[in-house]
Amino acid sequence: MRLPRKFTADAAAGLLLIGAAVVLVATPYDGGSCTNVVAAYAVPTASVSAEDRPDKPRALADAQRAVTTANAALAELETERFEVEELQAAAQAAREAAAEAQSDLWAMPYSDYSSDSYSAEWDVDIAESAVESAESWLEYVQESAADTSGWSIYTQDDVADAQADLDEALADLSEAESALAQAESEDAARESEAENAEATAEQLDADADAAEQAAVDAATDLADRQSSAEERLYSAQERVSQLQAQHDRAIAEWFHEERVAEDEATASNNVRASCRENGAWRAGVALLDVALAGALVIRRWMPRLSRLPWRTR
Amino acid sequence: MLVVGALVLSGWAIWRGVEQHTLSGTVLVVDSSYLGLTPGRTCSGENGYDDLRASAQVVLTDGEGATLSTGRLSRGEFDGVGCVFSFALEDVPRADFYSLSVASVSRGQLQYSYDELADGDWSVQLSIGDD
Repeated sequence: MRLPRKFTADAAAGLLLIGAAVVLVATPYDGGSCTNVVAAYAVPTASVSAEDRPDKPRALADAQRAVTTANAALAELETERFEVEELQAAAQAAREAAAEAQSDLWAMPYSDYSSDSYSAEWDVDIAESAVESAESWLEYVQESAADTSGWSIYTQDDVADAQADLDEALADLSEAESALAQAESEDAARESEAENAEATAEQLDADADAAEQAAVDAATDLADRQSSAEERLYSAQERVSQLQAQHDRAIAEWFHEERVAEDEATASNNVRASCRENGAWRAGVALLDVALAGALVIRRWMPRLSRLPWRTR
Repeated sequence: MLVVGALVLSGWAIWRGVEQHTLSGTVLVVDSSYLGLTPGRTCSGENGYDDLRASAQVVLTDGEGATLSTGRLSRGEFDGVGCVFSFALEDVPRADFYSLSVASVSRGQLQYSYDELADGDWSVQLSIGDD
């Protein structure tokens, strides 16, 4: 079968035009950056599917709370330090009071009351000796006055004088004994007072010892608890530091990856824009090709179309 | 005649068309001087990278040395790894080879083929420093 020449030329031109249109629309272009024209318009705008920023790790929050707790414990212990200082001040005051009491003990005049008593005893001895002399003298004078031989030199007047001397010696003795009793009583009172003072000084010393021990115990206990709290604080701070560094690294990594993803999205959108720009040209030319091919078909088939039933003219 | 013209136009469109690209890129400066910087903070090149800063020129030439497009570096921003500057070169036409120079001329030029850039979505990531 042999086709008409005109038909063959139109068909060949039409096929070339359609083929060119197909190539323009359906094949990759721009060095393969664009798959085809349809795809250039079908591809949506690239956007970064933002991954969530890394949350603060629970362990970091826990460690930060531990730091806060340890700081609060240390602050509370700091208030207890004032109580310990008060105990130390009280112990120091007790020690000073005890030292003062001891000092007062050494300052008491033991020698005074001893000499007073000794002196009174001495006075009694002298008075007794005087009484004995007076009694001996009275006895001698009485015997002499009773001698009636005429040789006696003492009279009843002398006896009366000797008796008066004896009475005076007895009175002195009585006075000396009374003074001795008084001195001994005063000595006893002073000795009792000294014993009381010594007992008080010992009590104050014991109180000072107890107060000092209480202050030392409180200070030791406080130091132990402070040391423990500080250890907990340092441990928590170190953990916070480590976890914070890890978290910072995670944030930095996330930020970097987000930035890279944004760059990729920007590049993809740039390619999409240039594909659309060139694709619009290619689509336009393809449309022109198709239009021309259509015109060729119409030219070839127009005579037959006029004979169709819906063509009345 | 019209058909021939259309076919010639189609051939031009198939072969080249109005191909123009936007070449985007980043320059990442990694240096210990950025340690401790918060991501997102403004930064610039330091310690020998002083020429890498905002508004430094970026030039793209073809294989013959003809300038195809120029641009400027953006403000530097610490991205968690280093100080990153971005740039975009508009209306880059097709050429077999490209030469890219950033900031100081003394840093030399980076050579790319057309295929390399096309494969990389017309995007280049440059890095300099301790990385």
